[in-house]
Amino acid sequence: MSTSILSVKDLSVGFHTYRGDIKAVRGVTFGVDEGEIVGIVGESGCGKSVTAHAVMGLLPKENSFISGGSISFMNNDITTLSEEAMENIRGSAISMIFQDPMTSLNPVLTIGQQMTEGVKGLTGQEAYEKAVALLERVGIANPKERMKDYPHQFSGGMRQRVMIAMALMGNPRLLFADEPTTALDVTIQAQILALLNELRHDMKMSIVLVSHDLGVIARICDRVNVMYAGRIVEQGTVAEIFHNPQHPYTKGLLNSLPRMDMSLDEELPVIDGQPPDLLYDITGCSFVSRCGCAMRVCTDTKPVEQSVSDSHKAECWLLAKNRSKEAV
Amino acid sequence: MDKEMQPLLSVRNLAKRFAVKKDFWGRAKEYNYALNGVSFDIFPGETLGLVGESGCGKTTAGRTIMGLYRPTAGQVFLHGKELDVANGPDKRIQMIFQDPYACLNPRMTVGEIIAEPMEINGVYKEAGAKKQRVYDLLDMVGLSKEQANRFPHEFSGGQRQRIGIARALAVNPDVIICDEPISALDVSIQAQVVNLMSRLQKELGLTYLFIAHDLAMVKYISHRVAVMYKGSIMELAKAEDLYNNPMHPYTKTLLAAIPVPDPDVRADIALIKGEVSQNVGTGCPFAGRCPSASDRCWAEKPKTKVINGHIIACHLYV
Ligand SMILES: Nc1ncnc2c1ncn2[C@@H]1O[C@H](COP(=O)(O)OP(=O)(O)OP(=O)(O)O)[C@@H](O)[C@H]1O
Ligand code: SF4
Ligand SMILES: [Mg+2]
Repeated sequence: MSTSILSVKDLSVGFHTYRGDIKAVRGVTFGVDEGEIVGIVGESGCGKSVTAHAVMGLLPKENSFISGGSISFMNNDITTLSEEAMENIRGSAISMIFQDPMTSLNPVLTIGQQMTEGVKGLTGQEAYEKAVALLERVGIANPKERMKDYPHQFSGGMRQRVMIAMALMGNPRLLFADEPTTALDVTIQAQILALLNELRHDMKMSIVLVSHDLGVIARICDRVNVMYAGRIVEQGTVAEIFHNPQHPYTKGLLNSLPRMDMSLDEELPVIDGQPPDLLYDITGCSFVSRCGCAMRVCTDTKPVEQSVSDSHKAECWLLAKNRSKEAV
Repeated sequence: MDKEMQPLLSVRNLAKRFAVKKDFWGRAKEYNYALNGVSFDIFPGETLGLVGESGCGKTTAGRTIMGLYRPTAGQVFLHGKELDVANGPDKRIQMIFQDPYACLNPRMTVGEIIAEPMEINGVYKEAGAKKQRVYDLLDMVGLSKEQANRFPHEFSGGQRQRIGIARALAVNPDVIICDEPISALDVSIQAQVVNLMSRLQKELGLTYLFIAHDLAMVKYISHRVAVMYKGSIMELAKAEDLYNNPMHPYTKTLLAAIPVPDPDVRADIALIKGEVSQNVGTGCPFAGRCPSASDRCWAEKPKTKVINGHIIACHLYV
């Protein structure tokens, strides 16, 4: 059995807004084992980033609330950790990189200053050497020289490499990567994904990769969670999700991508409609209004998670073995 | 495409440079060529895809053809007649933008937004005809006429893109330049919009220049595809040929880098090193990253030639 690094159970997160309370994450359960890359994939607004921010303790204090569930990191419950204790974990044991490195880099400090600032347990010289070594590791040429440069002196791809090096300063066991390549060109994206994949082997680090791009997820993830309207509707190994999808939403998403052998005479299969407004409670299945297979039970009752294999689960009434005939 | 057919839109040696450094007097000291001598034809009823990485000049190409930028050199022909760029945008060329929200006036109703190009160009002048035209357009793009009185913020991203399409169609253009029309949309919504665009093309005989960085979608929607790098076209071929038999080293690189939604395809992805560099030099724009670059590639910019039906600019092919 592999060691569990992260275990999120039944996590629910909401936001107070002028329209009312948005229930952004609605009971999410997933785990990450040592050395794994776990993907969270889904469309805009489905709650991927909120999930990541909740685990990182980075939810906005003003209007967010965790309304249920637990988060445990290396078998310690971190759900109710103090601000200070969380601060300690963040940046060391758990680290994070974002879509736009510019928003998390300080424009008026050099890369060297930012990398060596506040590193615990290392002398200034040690921190400097570590920073140089990490910059070199992530593929920055002339690292000693580049330590003196400011963020704007790096291209988008190089900046993301710097962010990765910075996230590695505390030897994290877990790295959250929220759309790390979305703003980058495809050739640079391929380089960064390859780098992340190497690093998890070299550094025995687990990665949670958040992305809306199924291609990115397929390229480096071991296991995948498909999110829709605040729920994980299907989870499985990368092969199970891409070769044997069970949930109508996962199937629909995969089908709506044009295949390379498709011609214009064939229409792209679409998922009609749009995701539900997260302001409201959903009684049945959150996908019911867009689902081509919806039955009466789907409108009335929330689907119960069904196991397809030990590693493969989906929340859909179609998979229920003892679905009562009247309900349908 | 049929050899006998006249191109609908032709672009010849189009160049556009922007000043990157200015001297004390505000005169340009250094230029960046966003477009560096681009030529292509688009035939009636065809979709030409234009792909390449950010900053390669795709958007500049679209905007220069539209008449939004004044070209530094080169010409644009429509139906064989040169467009006078001094006249600004021509109503026969319309555009669909990437961000349907930023590009729709939030204070105008959807009906007003769609009618605006008709007013600017003085068509459908009579109020009743204009109203009817707006309703017809809404219907064409899958919206209802009741929605004409609503404001853009009441619509989802995909619906807003439909409004953008209706607006572009309002004055019966010959060519529509689509600048990343689906990049800002969710996967499930992208397919809805692409199906609409291809249905409209068949029904109305529209001609598209489809600018995008999503190569799989470009392959699907385009009849022919042009690959751009640093302001120059590297390769142009039928969509099938380009994807099944890429010839230019850059096209090969780009295709290898596309993330494919299939975990079995991960194995030996040939990674290209480095990033797009700023210096243009006299040689091939791709020389700095090309695995096959020779001395000649650094010294001399390759001329375009036609090989096996591919228009290609590379010294590897003679
Ligand atoms: N600070 C906030 N205040 C109010 N609502 C919020 C806040 N942050 C997120 N939300 C809402 O929570 C829901 C989930 O948002 P989240 O950012 O997690 O989506 P996402 O899956 O990361 O989407 P994307 O792909 O666009 O990044 C959305 O409905 C969003 O509007
Ligand atoms: S539970 Fe019903 S509505 Fe939901 S995905 Fe399954 S079949 Fe469709
Ligand atoms: Mg997000």
